[in-house]
Amino acid sequence: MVFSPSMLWRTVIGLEVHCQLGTRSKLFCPCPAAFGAPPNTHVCPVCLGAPGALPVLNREAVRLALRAALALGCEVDRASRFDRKHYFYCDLPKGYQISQYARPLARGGELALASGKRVHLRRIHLEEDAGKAIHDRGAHTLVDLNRAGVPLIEIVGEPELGTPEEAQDFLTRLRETLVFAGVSECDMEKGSLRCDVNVSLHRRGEPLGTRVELKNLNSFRNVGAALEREIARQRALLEAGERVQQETRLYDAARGETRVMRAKEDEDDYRYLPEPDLGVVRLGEEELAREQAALPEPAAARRARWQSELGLSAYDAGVLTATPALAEAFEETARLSGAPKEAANWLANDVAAAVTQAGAGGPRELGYGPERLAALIALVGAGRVSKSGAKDLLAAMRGNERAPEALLTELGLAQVSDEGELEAWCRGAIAAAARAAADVRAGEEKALGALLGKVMAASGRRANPARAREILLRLIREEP
Amino acid sequence: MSSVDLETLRTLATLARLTPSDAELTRLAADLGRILEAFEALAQAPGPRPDEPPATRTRADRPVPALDPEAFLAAAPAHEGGFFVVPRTVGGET
Amino acid sequence: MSTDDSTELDASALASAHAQGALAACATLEDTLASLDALDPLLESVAVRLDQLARTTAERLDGARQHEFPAGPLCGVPVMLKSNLCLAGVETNCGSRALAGYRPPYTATVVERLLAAGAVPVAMGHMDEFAMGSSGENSAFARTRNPWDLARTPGGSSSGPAAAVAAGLVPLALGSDTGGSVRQPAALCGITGFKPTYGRLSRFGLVAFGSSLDQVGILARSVRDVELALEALSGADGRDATSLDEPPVVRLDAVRLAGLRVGVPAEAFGPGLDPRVRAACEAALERLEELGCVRVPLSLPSTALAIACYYVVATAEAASNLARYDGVRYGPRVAGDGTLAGMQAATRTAGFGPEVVRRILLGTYVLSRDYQAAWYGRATGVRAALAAEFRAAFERVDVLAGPTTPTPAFRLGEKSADPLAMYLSDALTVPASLAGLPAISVPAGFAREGQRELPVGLQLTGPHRGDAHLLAVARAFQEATEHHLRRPALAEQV
Ligand SMILES: [Mg+2]
Ligand SMILES: [Zn+2]
Repeated sequence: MVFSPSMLWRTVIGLEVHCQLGTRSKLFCPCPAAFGAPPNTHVCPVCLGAPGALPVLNREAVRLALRAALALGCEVDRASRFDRKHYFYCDLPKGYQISQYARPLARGGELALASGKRVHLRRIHLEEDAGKAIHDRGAHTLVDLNRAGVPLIEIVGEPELGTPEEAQDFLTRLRETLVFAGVSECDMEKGSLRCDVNVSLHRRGEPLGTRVELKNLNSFRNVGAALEREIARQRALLEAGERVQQETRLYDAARGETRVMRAKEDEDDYRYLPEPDLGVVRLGEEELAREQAALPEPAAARRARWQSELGLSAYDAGVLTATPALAEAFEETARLSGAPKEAANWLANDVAAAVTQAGAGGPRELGYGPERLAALIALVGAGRVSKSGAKDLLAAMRGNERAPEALLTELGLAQVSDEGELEAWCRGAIAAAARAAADVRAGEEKALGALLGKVMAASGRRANPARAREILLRLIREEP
Repeated sequence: MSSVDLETLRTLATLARLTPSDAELTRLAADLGRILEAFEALAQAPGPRPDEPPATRTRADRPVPALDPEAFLAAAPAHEGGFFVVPRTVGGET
Repeated sequence: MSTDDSTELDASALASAHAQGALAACATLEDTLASLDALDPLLESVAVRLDQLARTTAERLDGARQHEFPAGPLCGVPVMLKSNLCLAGVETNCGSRALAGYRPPYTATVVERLLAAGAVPVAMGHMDEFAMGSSGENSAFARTRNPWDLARTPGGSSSGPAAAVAAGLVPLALGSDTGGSVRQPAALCGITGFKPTYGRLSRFGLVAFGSSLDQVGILARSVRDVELALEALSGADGRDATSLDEPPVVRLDAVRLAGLRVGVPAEAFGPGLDPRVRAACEAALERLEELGCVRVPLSLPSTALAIACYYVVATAEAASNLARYDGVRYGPRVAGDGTLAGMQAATRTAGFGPEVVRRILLGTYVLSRDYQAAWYGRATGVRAALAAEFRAAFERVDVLAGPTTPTPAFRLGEKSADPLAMYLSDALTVPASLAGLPAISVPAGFAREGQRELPVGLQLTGPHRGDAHLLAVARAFQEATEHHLRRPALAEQV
């Protein structure tokens, strides 16, 4: 083994994740929280920071934040509070952000990585989002306050991650947990999941190094790439005997590099003040118990159960937990059809692909609700449609409200198992391909494929292939 | 602890986004020093833990239509295409 | 009834005259506008006249009367609003250059309720900038005068509303009281000024100064008018999370003063008290005893720290609340060095007057990382101790009584160069603010000052949420005294 100085360095990574809660209105005012509206059309005196306007807390946001805390196994504060965090920026209408500082909604909690490693969480708190400052249009900065006041939770993880891969896996698991708990859609492209990373390097056995914060990591891939770059940069500095500065750096995805955004100075004295406009967020034991009981089963637990109890492959189980909608569709289809493996086959392949390609919210939107998929599975099981015919039927079911059974007849896809009809097609095939029949008779079973192909072609793919095969063999053996 | 030196005051002014002149800063330092000195007794007070405020009033998650942007954009010092306009900058925080 | 009389009537009498059709709201309004024309140039109480809005409102009210729609409790009563109460589309400048020309896109809850009760808004009143001040001299736009002596301050920060009510320009006005800004000018102007229990009146639409202290207050010539307005304006508001979850305050029938326990804190009669104020308040207390009240001497030791505590809490919250005036979304902008930070700093520095700058810096200091625990932290502790002392006192007494201010109205300019002296003049009003208690100033007598007489106010404080009973006691005192009936001889001073 060759000695490399870089092996001496240990990397310590911590993540801070901001996640937009899936409410319809903002955290402290009734403006719509929806993404993508024209600039400054989801704005009122409260989120505009108009003089005299006051915040009133959205209780659904509290409920969703509580759900997140419970799903992550945190200790929930029964009397959390809001504080004002002060700084000046053009996207911060009041000159302060209403956040939770001294008494966050929850502390502790943990998240299991794919490797089984458990990463601890420090805290989860509720806060309002800032607006959006746009710098790349013209000579000025433009400010849109539609996002100002949208409800977020900030989840602070302990610095227990050792590699960029672990950081990405942490994010993947966190996102999955939040999505399955119904807390957020966690769509990085819409900014409903944002991630800040802090990273430092130190020699084994020595104290932690100076940490650098990375911002602007707007995709899972960027988190990995930015960390790779930053770790390399810090290692190069340290190996050259230089020091890492405590600072905040922005990741420039186009250039694949990080650059200084600002140094840590006196500037960030946030002068926290208990928010006098809001009282305590009181949570009762019944409410906690109710939310705990209402938490859906986590994705990881479902995958394990499906593999051990329903015999699914790890791959299928993984695909089926890509979204809660797909997972729910699978559970329901499996239950209705009594054929979990068949349900998994359809959903993990054709249906999942169709949902992704259409950008749909789930199978039901495409006409692949559990009742209809179960009906399809039943038709295949009863031999009323061939495997290949079933694919055509699935295609026909999309966006069509008619029952699969009716579509089957309508499209002429019903599989023919009638002995008389099958025998006629088989005789025709033997007559047309006497050579193949002779080969079969001589013991070359694989020549049967050609004959079966002719039967399928002649029947318009409706012939029951298993029955046709039996009949072909019988006819060839009977007629010397 | 009651004297406020000019350097501290300058830092406070930066935090508060104010730029008083040097003469004003000198006068303000004297004012603040005098005021804080008069308030010195406060810093000696033991004081119990502050009262916990009552449970906050909440609202249901019902969106209502927002303000017509015309109602407030017209009052903005600079706006364009529905946006507020400020000098070009980078930065921010969440 | 001749139109000459309408400005002599109080709000209660005007409202019933309008409701019964004995008097037209339009006629009353024209009297009011005429007296504003004649007298306001002497007082400088009016920041913005609302003639057109007022006329439209009064005509609508008279029309509704003709169709026999039920009249609101404040039908046709002309009112002035302190210019930190938002009225959609009307300049609400808070006495600050930072909000010069600013027209809010919405209306404050209390103003909505005032309008719904049939009141006619005639003007926005001058005030100390962002309600920071005790003399009106911190207004960027005016030097409001005291109608009892035009060389003197009307008090502050609700200077315009207090002066206008005292001079008979309007019978009713809304102000705001953070550390005494309604009670102190009411005392100095010889009228009735009420600060309700914190949370009693919605703060939605009241431009914030010290959010945990700010309360909308009512200024009138009599307690009965205060009660009339309070019933129309109070009641929970879903837009203010700190508003009390209680129905409107309904006027109580006459209370029995016999046996009523009146607590007199020793600290309220301390050595700094002007002897004339002491004498007038002593006389008022004796009058209460004659009426059957039992005087209970007591002590509220933490009031010694109240001024320090108040100025730490209020300036911390003010520094926070005033961070929004950054030249981005509203208000005048100053370009500065052309950067965002430079523009914000230049805008704020140009927009705020010296007292506001002083308080923002003080508030920033007491909240800053290194000093927060020593200052803001200690202040919240003292505040809790003070509230506990008040709670203990109200186990023993029904109301507390003492002077509202240490001195009668001082001369304009007398304290404006000395911020600390100005702060100390709030010593008697800030304790109730810190404890969130209802408190009222009622005229208690007069102090002779050369050829003139200057009003003295008696402050009565009630327990938390005891607004209705406190008002009933104050009304009983007023019914047994005549100080509130005296009017300043404004015309003689010209
Ligand atoms: Mg945050
Ligand atoms: Zn809003």
